[in-house]
Amino acid sequence: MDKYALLITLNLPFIFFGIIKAWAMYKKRIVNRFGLLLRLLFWLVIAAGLIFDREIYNFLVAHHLTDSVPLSLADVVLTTGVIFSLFLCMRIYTKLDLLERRVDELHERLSIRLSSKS
Amino acid sequence: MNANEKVCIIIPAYNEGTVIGSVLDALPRSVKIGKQVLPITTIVVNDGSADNTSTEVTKRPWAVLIDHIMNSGAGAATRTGLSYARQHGFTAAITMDADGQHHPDDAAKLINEILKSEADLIIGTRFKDTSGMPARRIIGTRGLNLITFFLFGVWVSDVQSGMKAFSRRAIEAIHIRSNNFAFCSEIIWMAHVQKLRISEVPIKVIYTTYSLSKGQLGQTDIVAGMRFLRQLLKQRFMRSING
Repeated sequence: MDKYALLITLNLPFIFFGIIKAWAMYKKRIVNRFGLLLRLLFWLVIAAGLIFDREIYNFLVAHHLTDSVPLSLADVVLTTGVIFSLFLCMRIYTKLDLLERRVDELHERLSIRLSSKS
Repeated sequence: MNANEKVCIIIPAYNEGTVIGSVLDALPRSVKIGKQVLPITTIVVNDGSADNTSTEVTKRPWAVLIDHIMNSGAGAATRTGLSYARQHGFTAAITMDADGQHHPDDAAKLINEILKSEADLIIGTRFKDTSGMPARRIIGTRGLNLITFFLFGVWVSDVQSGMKAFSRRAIEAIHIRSNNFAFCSEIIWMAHVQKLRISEVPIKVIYTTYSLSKGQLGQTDIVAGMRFLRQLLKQRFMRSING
């Protein structure tokens, strides 16, 4: 199978899912129109990158931006992207934990206060 | 021990309507320490039960009922009970299960021990006499003891025991975060971290078909064990990051 086609096949479902999710959030009024536009823009930029991956890659190769000895620009971008994703995951995970703790605390205080009133 | 001692028994309960009444009726309402008789406050934390647990407790006016608005787990219910004890100035607290597996005499025994001894946390261990205990539960609990030891460096013979006694110092110092059954190990870990004195006292366990049907180790043990490990790792990890 063509590697470019494989790249699109593997990643396109994520983009579809992202767009559908953004649309659902807009319909449920979780995000406003601006939020929807931002999300759509984000996923469409990724989709464009995927669709034109052959052209982009040819451009990078032609300009020696993927030379991997000692480190290519593509390597730098890729590694930075991975690290940034890990950073985001970590940040979200810790924020979720803090939020969970606050909800637990709220639940506990509410339960005690309501019980003492009854 | 002084005249201002306040003692409570905390019972987290979830869908225990069929047994909670008899458990409450059997519990001691006072304990004699030397020449002094101390009243015992029983606190039931109803963890969002869908049955008549709450109604059964309200029929007994001597018991304090705290209703969780939604079901949150045994750890969350115990945390609420300990928080209540902290807020109301209790000097000693006992936690015990609501399914009737703990002997009421052991509650009085643990109160005596926590008030008389130097210990801050006493664990009622079921492992001094394992007769009647199903083999899979023995193996499962011993496995969880080992996991707790390797993760937190503290060894107790019955990490999953629901019957524990807390001194005032322990009530103040132990703040658990686990909502589920990992809270038992977390209590021991926190006591170890806070340099509290931990001891063990043997207790008797009444195994009935009902009590055996309850508890996480009665289900698929490997899955429960994995879930338990994941929860403890999460607690260990998040405490390192978020404090």
